[in-house]
Amino acid sequence: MTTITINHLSRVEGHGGIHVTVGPDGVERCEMEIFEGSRFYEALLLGRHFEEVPGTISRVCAICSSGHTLCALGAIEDALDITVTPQVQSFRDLLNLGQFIESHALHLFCLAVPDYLGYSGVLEMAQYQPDVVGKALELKRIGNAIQELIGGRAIHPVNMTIGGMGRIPTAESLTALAGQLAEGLESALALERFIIELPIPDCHLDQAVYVALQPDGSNYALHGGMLAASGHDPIPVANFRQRVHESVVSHSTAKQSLYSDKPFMVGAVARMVLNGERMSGVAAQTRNRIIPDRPTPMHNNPAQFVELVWALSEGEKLAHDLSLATPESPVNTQVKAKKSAGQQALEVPRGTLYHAYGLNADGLLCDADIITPTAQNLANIEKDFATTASCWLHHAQNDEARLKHGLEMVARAYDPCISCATHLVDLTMRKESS
Amino acid sequence: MNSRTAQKPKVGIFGLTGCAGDQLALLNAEPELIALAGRVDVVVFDMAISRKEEWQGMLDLALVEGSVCSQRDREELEKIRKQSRSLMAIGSCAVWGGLPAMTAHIPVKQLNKQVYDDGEVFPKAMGAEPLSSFVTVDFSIPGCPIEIGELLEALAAILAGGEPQRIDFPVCAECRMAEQICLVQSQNRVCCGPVTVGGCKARCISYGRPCDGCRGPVDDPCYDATREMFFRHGLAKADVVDALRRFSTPAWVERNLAADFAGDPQRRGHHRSQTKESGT
Repeated sequence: MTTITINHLSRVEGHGGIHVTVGPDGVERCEMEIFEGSRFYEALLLGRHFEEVPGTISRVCAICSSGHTLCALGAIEDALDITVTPQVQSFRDLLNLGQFIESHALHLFCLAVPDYLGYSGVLEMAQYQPDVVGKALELKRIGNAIQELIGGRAIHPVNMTIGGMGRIPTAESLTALAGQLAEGLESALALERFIIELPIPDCHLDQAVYVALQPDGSNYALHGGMLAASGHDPIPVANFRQRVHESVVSHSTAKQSLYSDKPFMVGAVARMVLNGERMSGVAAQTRNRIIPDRPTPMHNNPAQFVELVWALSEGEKLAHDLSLATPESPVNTQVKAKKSAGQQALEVPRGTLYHAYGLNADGLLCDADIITPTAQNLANIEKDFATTASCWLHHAQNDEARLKHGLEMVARAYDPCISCATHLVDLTMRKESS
Repeated sequence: MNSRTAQKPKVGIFGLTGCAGDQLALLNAEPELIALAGRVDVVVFDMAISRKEEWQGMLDLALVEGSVCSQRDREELEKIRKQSRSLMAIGSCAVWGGLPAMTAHIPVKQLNKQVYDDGEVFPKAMGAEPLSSFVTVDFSIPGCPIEIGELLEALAAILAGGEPQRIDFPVCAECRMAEQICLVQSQNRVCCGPVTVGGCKARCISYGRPCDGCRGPVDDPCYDATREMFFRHGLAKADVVDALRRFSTPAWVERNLAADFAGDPQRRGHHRSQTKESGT
């Protein structure tokens, strides 16, 4: 029996590794071990006041902090029957777009691309490809600028409140932002050829069961009342937990999820498969040039690039529209607590994020459930590890470096949260007689 | 750190359990990061650079973010400490335990039951602890996330052979300098500003929301005056303690606030020299 271990797949939700066990009859076990220390976020919310939830739960993850904040706000507002004004909703949409731009630019160019091209990191890549890195960092800065302007801070935003927001940005700052986004779109489009030429490794993966929210209107969007899945009829988001089942596995402090008892994938490629046809303009053109007819999880990084283009063009329109709107006075709704339950699903850079909360009559939390995209993808990642390892057995037996690289590229494709896939190290191979 | 050595000082940037927000804040400050890379040799940067092999030899300075939430974290931290001349805790998790330390008073078995529906699944899980529970911490930069300017100023001071200046005023000081309206006095809301260390320019209050205390306690909060003010505005002690418990170590809150706001702040998690002076 052979056990292949990647000990420190550095930072998957912080800290994780890969274990592959090969026996006489082939691949026996593939596990993505997550040994990030447990922080018990769901437990530490219990008994706390609902107003604290968004600011507490954003701390689950820095790079997804806007997504967690927005999802928590939506779930609490759902529980308390609060509807925000269209203007506040537009600001929230813009904040989410800022997060998409920042997260996709960071993952794609600073974390993933150096791997494709064999650099140790973005600093080394900057010496050889200064133009690409320069443009990528410009995009990342624009994503951060949106989050700073709308959210009040690039990491762990402070400007969104239950029922409204604290400070409405000035028309001048929004006009300037729209200008930055227009320039960013030019830069992104100039990177398209670079992305098309990236060597996508062939790991012989199948198409996954893709899951994403179905936008309510006819356009590509990041929220919607129905959850779509390839090969299944869409279900209302209210039934999310009846369809997506979480389970605990002893090798991972992150839970795993199944959709109708099958591993599934959420994220950019899932949205592209299920909703990509809804894109229009430059984003649609980029999509047509980059995304193949039957994309596999390995196409998640190119799909992130398409979304980057989409988010820049969508963000420019939104910032421009908001700069022309009459600013509402800051909304700080007096919210009355009641015994209730609420939920929200939202597309965030890595996939569908789901929050559900229960409140007691005093507004204190008695139930909290958070299902992150990375946790939903874990079972499918393990399935794809197994496919990669079986392929390796047939085609390149004993070339451990190739297997290690293949497994790392699979993990990388899923973009398992930045506290996540940055660098994968220490492949140790232990040979034992079985 | 000896700034006169011919070689550039070796710096490592590490993340224990946490949201990686402090490394991300550093990664977001590209111009400053590039300038810094000219002055120091960044040997390890968990979030940004692949670690081709385990680094060898001594680091001059290790920046560590995140709290200690597992035996693995503890071992990693002890290894970092052994191989670093100076160690700096960055972010409130590293300095104080941060939000995850909020559950420190709940037994781990019960937490496992609540989150994983099984009290035995991760028997080795432990409550979040700050770095200073296990190793000597030379410098601390609090914040959730850190304010990048504060970190860079501290690094500049250390590179020049000096000690970083320590912020010893509360959020209220900066809030008043910015001429913002006090949320306790005008809206009777619980605000952690009076007892939280400044340095954030009272950002949250500028957006109309009270301070969450995310930067942790200030050295010398004026408890009596603070308590008086909260009471005058009809705010119960329990609410104030509860608000502060979110980001500061529960033990600190219990000792200093639950006991009727009495006593001096524990100097845990601050400079070694300060710790010696205070005799703890």
